[in-house]
Amino acid sequence: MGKYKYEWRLIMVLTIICVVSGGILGLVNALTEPVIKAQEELAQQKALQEALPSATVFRAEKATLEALKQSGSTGLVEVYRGLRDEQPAGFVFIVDQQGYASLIRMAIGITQAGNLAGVNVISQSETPGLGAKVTNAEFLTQQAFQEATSESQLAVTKDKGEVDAITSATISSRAVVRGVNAALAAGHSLLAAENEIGGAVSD
Amino acid sequence: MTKWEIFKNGVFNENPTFRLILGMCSTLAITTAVVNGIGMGLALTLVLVGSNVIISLLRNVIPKEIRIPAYVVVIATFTTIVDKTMAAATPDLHGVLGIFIPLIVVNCIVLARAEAYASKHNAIESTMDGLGMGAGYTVALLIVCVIREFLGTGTLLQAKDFGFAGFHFFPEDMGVKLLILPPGAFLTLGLLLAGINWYVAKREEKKHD
Amino acid sequence: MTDYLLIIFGSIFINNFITSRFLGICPFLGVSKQVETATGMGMAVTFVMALASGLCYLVQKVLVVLKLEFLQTITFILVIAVLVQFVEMVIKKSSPVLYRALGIYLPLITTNCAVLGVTIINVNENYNFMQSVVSGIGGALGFSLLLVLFAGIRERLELAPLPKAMKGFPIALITAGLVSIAFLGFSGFDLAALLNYKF
Repeated sequence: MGKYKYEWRLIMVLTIICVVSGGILGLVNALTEPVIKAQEELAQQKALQEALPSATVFRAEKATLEALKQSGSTGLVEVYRGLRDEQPAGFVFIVDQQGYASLIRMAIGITQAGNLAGVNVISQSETPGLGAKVTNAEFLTQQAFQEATSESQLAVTKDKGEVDAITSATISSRAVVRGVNAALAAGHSLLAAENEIGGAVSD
Repeated sequence: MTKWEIFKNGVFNENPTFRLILGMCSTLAITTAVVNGIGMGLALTLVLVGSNVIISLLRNVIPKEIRIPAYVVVIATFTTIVDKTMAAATPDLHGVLGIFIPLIVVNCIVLARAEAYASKHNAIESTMDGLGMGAGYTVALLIVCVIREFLGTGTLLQAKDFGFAGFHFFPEDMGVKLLILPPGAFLTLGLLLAGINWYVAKREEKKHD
Repeated sequence: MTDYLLIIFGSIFINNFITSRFLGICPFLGVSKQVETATGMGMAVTFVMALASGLCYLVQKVLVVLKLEFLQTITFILVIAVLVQFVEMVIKKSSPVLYRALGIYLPLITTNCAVLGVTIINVNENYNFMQSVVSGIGGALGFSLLLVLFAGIRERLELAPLPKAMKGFPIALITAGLVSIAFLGFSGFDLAALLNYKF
């Protein structure tokens, strides 16, 4: 009879501890969740803004994403339409490409006129000091990228192109270039459909 | 032991990283930059002090048979509190430290001190022990961080996310890249440990002379 | 199928839990002194990690439905603690020799960063149930591989003439560093391209 009561005590104490802990965590969560969410949105907005500085509002367009995937675009994760004062200002494409040691996620902005607006690396786990340098402003704002348009097909100098790859990090650099090309092609087909620029590019 | 002695014990005699060989996973993983070491050390100290105090206060209430699950729940609660707070207050540091923040709950240091100390001493002494162990851990982290960041990238206290560019000593390309990669962690810690073992042995010898 | 091969190969070689992710270092340094104990420990950890991955996947699904994701750390570690108790009982009954050989290290599987680590990784990578279990098994196999490898090396290190300061953990860590350098060679391995996987 005594032993029976003792086991109940064990369960009771453990349960009380769990319930009190759960309650405290619920409180902490209620306090921190809105802050965390706000920060995630801010980070997202910042990434999109850096890719397409001429736009102020960004709208995710799932239908366009699906249509592009159907027509063969690979690596696209999200398509955002950029707007400025309610007017279309271009697109931002979120693209994933396999780098040397990880998936490289980029935000690439195309203006309404078909020019490459910006390349922003959002996440990567490449080799520190080598492939990780693809996040350097020097690499991302180089001339080959500045002058690219939606009709360009870029390549690193090793592949007879104009893009300066990071020294000893050709594979990571190639991944970024592939991502940019995918975005340019997607941007071209979308803008051509809107009659902003003539001619469609066949994949 | 006086309160100050309890604190010093955690930093020197029973330093969790260098003497007790506890909490190795995080020491090896995140020590690529000094700012990481500061963040991680602070996080662990908060969890350690919090759980030590609560477990010490409840030490006569928790039956022996369920003490490990009970301790784990308390530690997990503090870990989650620190996790969420860091995610809200310092999101970039939180991203860099990654899964090692929730992994504080299985950091051997916290459970070991709960079992070995907090369950047998009062709340004030447990607080000092927590602070001492946490400080010892942070000091160990910082030593490894300074070596790896300085020799590996030529900078110190680089905290791009906090808007602090850090102190640059030599160009990044001249750094020993191996130190920033996983093997660097093992080699640095191994050599440091050997050095400390040698120093402690020498001190023991002197005592006997 | 290629999915699972990628996960397993990745977990064992490219992102090995010990040499690359730094999960499971404490038991790695503590247990890997004899090949037999290391093998037994490896099997126990594989069993626990496989089950934990599956169970925690289901727990996460429940947490999401109830909007209680903030209870992830607490619930995951409790599930693992219960699981390890269960495995302890099973080993005690089926192989008392192994039970005695593993000693204190068996209940310590609960605090093995690799077990909780893999369950969190599975959630972060958005794996489905099968992928989670495969990831758990892969990670454990990588851990076990290193454990056994190391046990073999350390059996030899016991006989090597070392300076007193280096004996024990320092030389173990340095050796682990050398093994880690070797495993770095896998980091650029493009198994996907090898298997002609289309992204």
